[in-house]
Amino acid sequence: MDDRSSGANAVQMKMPSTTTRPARPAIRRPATKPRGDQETDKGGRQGPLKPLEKLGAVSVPQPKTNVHTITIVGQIEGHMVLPSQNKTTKYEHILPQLVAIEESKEIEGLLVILNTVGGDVEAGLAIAEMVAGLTKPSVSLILGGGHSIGVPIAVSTDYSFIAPTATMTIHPIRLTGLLIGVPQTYEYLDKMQDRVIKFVVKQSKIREERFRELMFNTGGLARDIGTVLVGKDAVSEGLINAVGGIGEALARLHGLIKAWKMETGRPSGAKVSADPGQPDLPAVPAFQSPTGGWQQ
Amino acid sequence: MILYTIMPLELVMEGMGNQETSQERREIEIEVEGRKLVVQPQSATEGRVVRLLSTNPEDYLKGEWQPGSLIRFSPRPDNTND
Repeated sequence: MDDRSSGANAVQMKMPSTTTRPARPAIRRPATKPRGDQETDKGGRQGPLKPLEKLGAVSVPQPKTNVHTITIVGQIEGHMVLPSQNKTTKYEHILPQLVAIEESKEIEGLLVILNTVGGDVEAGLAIAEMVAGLTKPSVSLILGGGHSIGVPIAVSTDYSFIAPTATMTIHPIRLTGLLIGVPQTYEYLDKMQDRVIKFVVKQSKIREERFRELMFNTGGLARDIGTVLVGKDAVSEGLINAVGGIGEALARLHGLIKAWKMETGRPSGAKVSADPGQPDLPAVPAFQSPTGGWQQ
Repeated sequence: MILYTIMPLELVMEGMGNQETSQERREIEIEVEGRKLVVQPQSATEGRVVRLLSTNPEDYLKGEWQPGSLIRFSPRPDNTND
C-alpha cells in the first residue's frame, strides 16, 4: 500500500514533465492478464484454489530483533553443581551464547539483565570478561539486586542501568572449606579480592580506594561488613551509569548501536569485515635469542 | 571454589551431600528448533517447560515454550543426558 501511494505521489509530482507516465499501468494490464487467465482456464478451477493453498502456511515472517538479551538470575554456578534448591545461572550456558552474539551478523547489541545474589568468583568473572570483550554495544540493567559477583557483571557492559529500587551489596570475599591459619591464606584471599576490585575499577568510574572503603565498611550490613547501595546511591558512587528501567536501557542500547554503526561504517546487519587475512597479528617471536631467552 | 554471594553459605550448600533429586523435580535439557529448553520430563517423550535458554527475546513470546506448558520431544540419546 505504501509503495503504491508513494508511487502515485511521485507520478503526480512528475506529471508536468512526463506526460506518458499515467498511461503505463493501463497498457501493462492487458499484456499480463490474458496469460494468467489462459493458465487458470486450462487447469479448470486451479485459479481460485491457489490462494487457498497459501492459507495452510502457518509461519508468518516476523520482524527480527537486532538486540539479544541474557538474564543472570539466582546464583552464578561455577565448577560445582549447586543443590537443587538454588536457582542458578550456569556459565556453560552463558559463555557460548556470548560467542554466538559476537559472531552473529544479525545481532547488533546485547542487553544483560541482572537479578543475582552472587555466586562463584571464577564463573562470574568469566562472564564479566566475556561481556567486556564484546565488540558490539552492550547495556546492563539491574533489577532487584546485583550483589557480590553480580557487581563486576553489571559494570562489564558499555553502559549500565539500575532500577530505582534495586540494590547492590559490596562486601568482602569469604573463603570456605579448610582454612590454614597462615599469612598465605590472607594473601590468597587478598589476591582473589583484587581480581574483582581491579575489574570493577577498570570498568566503572569508582575509585579503588572508595570501592575498598565500601567493601570494608562496618555498620552497613546486619551480619557482615560491607555496604548496600540502593538505586541512585550506586550511581552517585560512580559504579553504575544511570538509574532507569527497561525503556531507558533499550533506548540507550539502540543509541549505542547507531553510534557504533557509524563508527565502524557497518551497514545494517552484515559485518563489513574485509577479511583481514591476519595482517595485524604480531610477528612470530624470534626462535631463540643469543642470550637464550625468548624475544619478541 | 570461592563463592562470593550474599546468601548464607549454609543455605546455598544445604543438601550438598545427597544429590539424588526426586523423580518429579528432575530436570533435563532438550533442544527444540535449535533452542535449549530445561524441562521436567513427564514421560519418555513429554516434558513440562521449566525454563527457556535463549538470548533471542522473541523466543519468549512463543506460547509452546512458556514455562509450565507441555512439550513433546523425541527421546534422542543426546537429549537424555543432562
